[in-house]
Amino acid sequence: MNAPAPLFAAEFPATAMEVRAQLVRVEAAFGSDRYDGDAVSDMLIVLAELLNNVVEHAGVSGSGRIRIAVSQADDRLRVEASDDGGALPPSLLAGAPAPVFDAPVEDLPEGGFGWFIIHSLVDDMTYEREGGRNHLSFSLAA
Amino acid sequence: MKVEHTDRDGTRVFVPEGVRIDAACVVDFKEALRAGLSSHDGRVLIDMARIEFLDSSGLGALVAVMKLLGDRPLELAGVGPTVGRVLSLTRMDQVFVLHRDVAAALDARTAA
Repeated sequence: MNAPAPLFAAEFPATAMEVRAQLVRVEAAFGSDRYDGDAVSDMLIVLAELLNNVVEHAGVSGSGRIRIAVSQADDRLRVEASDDGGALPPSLLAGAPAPVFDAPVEDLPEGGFGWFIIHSLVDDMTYEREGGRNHLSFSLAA
Repeated sequence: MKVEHTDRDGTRVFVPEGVRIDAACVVDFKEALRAGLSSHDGRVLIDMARIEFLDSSGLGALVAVMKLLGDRPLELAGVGPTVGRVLSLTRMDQVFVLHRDVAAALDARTAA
């Protein structure tokens, strides 16, 4: 199977500042009239959640490396991300509960939004653990 | 991240510097709001007009700020499309009080 050549590819340290910098680069690369603005916006939202999750939870902060690639196949933008952090719990791929929003203020959640947002916007997320790396991919209609 | 604030008709209006409230600045953002909220018991409004991107950690920070307000809601002005999408997906648009812009927020006599 020949994967299409990526329109954007980067490898960078797994830190919050680098994630931000790369998201800005992805936005610059796709934020034109060629692509549907809502699709690009959703891609950036999902990518931010995936990458922040790597920085926060996969235990690689500071030393780990993240790779991302965005390609276009047919009418979809396809995003692949990989990292050398610890394995993800496969249950994350199954879905995430909706955040509680109608509780008293003191009981409102301050976290746990990330995977709910991801699953709200993407329905083809895949996860593989291979060669000591996590590989995640998803696509969005563009 | 710096967050300037001014008091207008008893409402403390915060204006975050920069265009993103994300994991890279969320600790500073929360701390700036916490410091800026001291000795103020009126309405609290964040001018979001320049904010182009809010991730889930930024969203969590907004919830954390609201918890500092006790019975008062956290009001947001000028939320743009990408930020609005994150708020509506998570239903947090029903937790915060949203206004078109700062002027509209100040025109609203009360928070709710």
